[in-house]
Amino acid sequence: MENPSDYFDSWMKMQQQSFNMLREQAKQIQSLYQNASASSDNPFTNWSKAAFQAFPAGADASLAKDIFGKTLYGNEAMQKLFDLWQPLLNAMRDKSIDPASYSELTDPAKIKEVIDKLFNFDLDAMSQLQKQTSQYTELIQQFGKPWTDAAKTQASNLMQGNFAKSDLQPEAWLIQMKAMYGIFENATGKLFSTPAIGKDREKMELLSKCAKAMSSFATNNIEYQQMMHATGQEAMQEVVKALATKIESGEKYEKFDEFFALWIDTNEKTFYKLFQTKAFSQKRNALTEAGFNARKLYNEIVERELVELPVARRSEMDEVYKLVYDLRKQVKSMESQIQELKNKDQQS
Amino acid sequence: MNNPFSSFDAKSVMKHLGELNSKLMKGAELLTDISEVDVGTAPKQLIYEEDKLKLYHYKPTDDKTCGVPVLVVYALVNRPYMLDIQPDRSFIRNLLKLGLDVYIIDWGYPTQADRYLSMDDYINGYMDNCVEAVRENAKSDKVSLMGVCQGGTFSAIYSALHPEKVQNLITLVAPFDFSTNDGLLFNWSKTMDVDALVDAYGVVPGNILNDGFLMLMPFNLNIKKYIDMLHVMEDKDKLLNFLRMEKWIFDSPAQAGECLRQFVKDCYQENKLIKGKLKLGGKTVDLSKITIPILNIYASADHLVPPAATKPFNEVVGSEDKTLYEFQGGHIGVFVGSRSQKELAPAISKWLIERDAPAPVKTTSLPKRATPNTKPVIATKSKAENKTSSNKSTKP
Repeated sequence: MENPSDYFDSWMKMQQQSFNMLREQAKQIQSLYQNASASSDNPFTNWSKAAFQAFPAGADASLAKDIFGKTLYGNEAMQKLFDLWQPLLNAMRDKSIDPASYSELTDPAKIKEVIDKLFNFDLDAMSQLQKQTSQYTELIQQFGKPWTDAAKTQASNLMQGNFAKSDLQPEAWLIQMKAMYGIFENATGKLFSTPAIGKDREKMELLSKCAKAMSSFATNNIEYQQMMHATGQEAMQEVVKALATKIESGEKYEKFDEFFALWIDTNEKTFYKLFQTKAFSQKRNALTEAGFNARKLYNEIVERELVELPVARRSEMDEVYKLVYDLRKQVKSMESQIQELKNKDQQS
Repeated sequence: MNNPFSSFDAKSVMKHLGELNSKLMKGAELLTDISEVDVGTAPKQLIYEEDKLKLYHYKPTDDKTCGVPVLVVYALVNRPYMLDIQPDRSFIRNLLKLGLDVYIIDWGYPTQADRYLSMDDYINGYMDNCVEAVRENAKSDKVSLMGVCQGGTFSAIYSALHPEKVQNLITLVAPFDFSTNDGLLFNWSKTMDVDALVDAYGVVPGNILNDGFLMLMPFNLNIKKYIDMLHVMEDKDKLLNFLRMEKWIFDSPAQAGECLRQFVKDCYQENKLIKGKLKLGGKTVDLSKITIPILNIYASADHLVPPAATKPFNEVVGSEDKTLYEFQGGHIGVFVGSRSQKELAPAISKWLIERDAPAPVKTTSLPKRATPNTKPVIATKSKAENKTSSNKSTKP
C-alpha cells in the first residue's frame, strides 16, 4: 500500500464485499429452500423453527432477530455512509473544499440509496401493485389490455425514473415526471373517468376509480420523494459547509465517528426544517390520503370478487362488529339499570 | 490545505472499526443468549377485566403513606410497562416505595372487533368502570388519577365529567391545547385526513403510528441509535436496557378507529377540549369544572407533547390548588431517566401525601358497581399469582 488511505479503502471494500457475499449466500439458500416446497414441510421453515427452538425456553426470538437485523442495518448504513463520502474525502486531500462543486465528487445514486433506505421508499412495491392491478384488469376485461398495458408502462416509467440521470437537479426530474403524467392524463388517463356501460358497469367504474387512485398515489409519492431527495442534497451541502468551516478554523477530525455525528446532526436539522413546513405537511398528508384511498378501493375490488366464495368479507364482518358493539352497549346499560334498581331495593 | 481527515490513519480507523465489529459479534452472541426481555416486573394483581382491558393493583408496601389510591391511566398508544421498564428504573416501584397504593389500566391490544369504540366508551365506559373497581377494591370514596400523555388528557376529561370520584389529578406530559405547532405531530395532524385513515383500516395498525414517530427524528432513530447500540452491546446489562426500550417502542397496539378519529378531529384539528366545546356521551366537557388539586407536569424538551400544549391546562381549570411542574428532559425521560427516579417520583409522592384525605371508609356508602358484560376479577390467588409469576425477572 502506498499510503494509509489506499489501505483503508481496500479494507472497506473488502469488508463491504464480504458482507454482500454473505447476504447473497443467505438469500440464495433461503430462496433455494423456499422454492423447494411451499408446504409446511419446507426445509427452510423447518430449519428456522429448529434454530429458534434452540433458544432457551421463553426466549423472545423474534425480538432478538429483529434487533440483530436492525443492528446490522445500522452497521451497514454507517459503512454506506463512509462509502458515500469516501470520494469526497479523498478529493479533499488534493483539492480545496468548495461546497459548490461537491456534487461532482459524490454519486447521487448513493445519496438516493441512503434516503430510500432510510425512509422506506420502495419503488418496486408500487410497480408491483400497478402490475397486479393491470393483470387483474386484464383478467376481467380483455379488451382493456392495451389501455392497462399503457398505464402499466407509464407507471413503471414514472416509478423507475432514474434520479442519477437527473444530474442533481431533482426539480427538473420532477418537472419531467409531471409532464409525463400530464400527457398520460390527457391521453389514456381520461378513459379512467369515462362512464362504463353494460352489466359490468359498476365493476368497471370501480376498477377505473382504483386505477386513478393508484395513479394519484404514484404522483404524490414521486413529489414526496423529490422533496426528501432534494432535502438530502441540501443536507449534503450543509455538511460540506460545516467541514469547510472546520478546516478554516484549523480543526481536525480524529475519528470517523466524529464526522458521523456531524452528518447525523446536520441531516436531522435539515430534515426537521423541511418537516416543519406547511408544504411538507400538506404533501405528506396528500400522499397518505391518496394511499389510503387507493387501498380502500382496492379492498372493494377484492371484496367484489370474493362474493361468490364461502368466506366472510371484511364489510360483512364490520356489520357484525357494529352489531356486537351496539348490543354490548345495550346490555351494559341494562345491567347497570338493573343494578341501580337492586341497590335502591336494598336501601329501602 | 489543512484537511480534517488528514489525521485519519489506517491503524486507528482499522482499530476503531475492528472494535465495533467485535462488539457486534459479541453482542450477537449475547442476543441469542438472552432468554427473556423482562419488563413490567413489579408484582401486581389483576383485579378487574372488561373486554380487552385489564386493571391491575400493584402490591403495596407495608408502610402506606397515602390513603387515597392512585389510578394510573396510560395512553392508548404504546404499553404501560414503560412506567416499570426495569427494576432499577421503575417509576411505579418508586411510587410504591414511597408508600402509594397504585393501580394501573392496561388497555390491551384492540382488534377489528374494537373498531367502533369511541372516546366516550374509553372514558365514560372503561375508565369509569376501572375507577369504580378501584374504589371498591381500596374501599375508598375517591381515587387520585395519574394520567400519562394521552391518558392525562383522558384523565382531565374524566375529572371534568365525574368530579365526585376524583380526589387529585396528576397529569404527566399530557396535551390539552392542540393549537400549537411546536411539535411535528401537532403540525402534521392539523392537515391529516383521519377519515381516510380510519375508513381504510378500521382499526389502525400500530405500525402506521410508529412510522410517524420514527419520522420525527429519522436519522437518530433509524441509524444512530443502532450504531450507538454497538458500543454497549458487549455489556449484557446495557444491552438488556436497550432491548427493553426497543421492545417498548415497537410494542404498539392498534388504535380503535372511531376513538382515533374523534381524538384527532376534536382535539388536534379543532382544539375543542381547551375551548370547552368537546362533547362526550352527550355532555360538554368543561375543564373549568375541575376544582380538585392539579399537578400538571411537563418536560422542557418534549418533542412529542411540547410544553405549549401542556401548560395552558392550568389556566383553564377551576382549581385553586394547581401546580405546574417543569421537568428538565424529554418525553420519555420523565419516566425512565435517572433524574426522574430521583426527583419526580418523590415530588409526586410528596404532593399527593400533602393532599391526602383518606375518606372514612364506609363500604356500604359506595354504590355497588354494575358490571354488565364484564369480568370482575376478585383477585383469586391462582389467577393473580399466575399474572405475577409470568413477569418474574430473569435479570442477572
